[in-house]
Amino acid sequence: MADHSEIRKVSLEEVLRLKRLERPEPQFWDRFDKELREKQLAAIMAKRPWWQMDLGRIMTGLARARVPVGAAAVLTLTFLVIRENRRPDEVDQGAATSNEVLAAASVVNGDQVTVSRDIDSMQAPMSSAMPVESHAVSSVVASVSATPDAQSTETTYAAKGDEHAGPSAVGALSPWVGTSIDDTSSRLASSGVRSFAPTLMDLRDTGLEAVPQARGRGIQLATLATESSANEEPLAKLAGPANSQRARLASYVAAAFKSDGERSSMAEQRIRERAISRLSNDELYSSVSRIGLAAGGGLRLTF
Amino acid sequence: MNPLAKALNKTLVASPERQQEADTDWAIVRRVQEGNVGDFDTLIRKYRERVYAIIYNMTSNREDAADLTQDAFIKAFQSIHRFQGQSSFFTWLYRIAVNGSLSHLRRNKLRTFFSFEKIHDEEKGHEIISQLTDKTGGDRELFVKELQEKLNEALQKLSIKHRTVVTLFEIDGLSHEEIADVMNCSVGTVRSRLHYAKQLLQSELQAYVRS
Repeated sequence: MADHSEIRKVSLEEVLRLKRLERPEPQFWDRFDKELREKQLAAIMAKRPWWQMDLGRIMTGLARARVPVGAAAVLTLTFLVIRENRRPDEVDQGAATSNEVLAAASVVNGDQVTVSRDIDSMQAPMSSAMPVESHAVSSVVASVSATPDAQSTETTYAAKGDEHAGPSAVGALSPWVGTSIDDTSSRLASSGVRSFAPTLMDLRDTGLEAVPQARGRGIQLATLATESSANEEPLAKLAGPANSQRARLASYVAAAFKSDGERSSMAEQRIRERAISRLSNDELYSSVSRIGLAAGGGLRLTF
Repeated sequence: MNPLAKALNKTLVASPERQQEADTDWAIVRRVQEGNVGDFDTLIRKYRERVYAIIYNMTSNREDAADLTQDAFIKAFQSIHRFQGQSSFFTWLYRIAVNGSLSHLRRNKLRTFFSFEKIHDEEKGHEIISQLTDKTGGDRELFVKELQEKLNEALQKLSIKHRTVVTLFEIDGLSHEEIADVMNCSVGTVRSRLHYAKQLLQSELQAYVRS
């Protein structure tokens, strides 16, 4: 043990500099080089896992392209946000554009647009979904046309765009189209409603008449809009599947009348029309379910 | 080297000598990246002693230091295709070595086994030791050995980060900016750690150093 009284003190930096003098012998480096060479060869021969091999290259590539990728992401996000929050008047403009295209198509087709029954059945749920927003109830009345010369399964509608400049037939029949979209955009809260709003606007602006041009023995479907009271039926408030179910029920009823049409008199027809028009949705549903129409059973409907 | 990397490199390299050294290294690295892997031996021979010294002063164990130095060079060789010249090669290599040493020290926190290299008592070392004591012969050797142990014990009492800063600044002679780049921290942090570490060493080595 050194005697500390004899030590002449130096600075800390000078003491630390002594550490620089701790060096290995020259022969140490020969051994070091040999071992390093062996380890290097082993590292080259060893199979590296894929996350060390490929992930590094991928990350390097992404790091190079981070500015363009980030800019593209921001642009996409902006586009989506603008598209989602587009105002209803902008939707009107889009609808007007599609209306022009549709009008041109109607001119080409001799001012008549032929809509298949499939499309009709697709539109029925949409119109029956309307009461959710506007407290209006649409009821479907089916009546049988006894014209014997036509067996067509298609229903032909007349397109009269020029004659229905204001609220069109569809717009009048479904008041929510005119009020909910044009006036109170806040009611279009759900994105689902917003998504098919342009389609409904097209329908309104085109002026499609729901009143059929019955020239054959087809089914006349007339959509009547009636103002509902504040306490609506629960079934009417349901959108989507329940409303499509209603449309299906109406078509079943129509089919039932179609089969009975030949042997029914005009008086009986009128009575049935009145009875059906007075049926509430619940009654219509329960009646049809009771006689098994919903299950694809018989087509006879008796009251 | 692209202009941006060159500008950044200039801010990180302290002296013109270091800048010239960095340019030379970059040329060698480019050759290695192009496929002349034999040129990597030039870099190994150039930096092996400095890298070994850093790791040895951090670990105070010569066997561990040798292994970690070899590992650092192997890692550098395997990753050399990712080196883009954004810093000088020796800074990049130091970073690999320091990170490897820090991981090793954290893994073996409880295992402290020292094995020291011999102090080559010549030139500057001789002068410092002569300033410390008048002893000669066997007593002088005993004194140097005792001083070395005390010094290494005091260094081991520092935290890993403080020890690394002291080693890089006082022993290896890196600038504050270079240490900040190697340790991935700010220059202020480097200065703060250095100040704290010196205070602690001063109190531990008060028998040998003047306040």
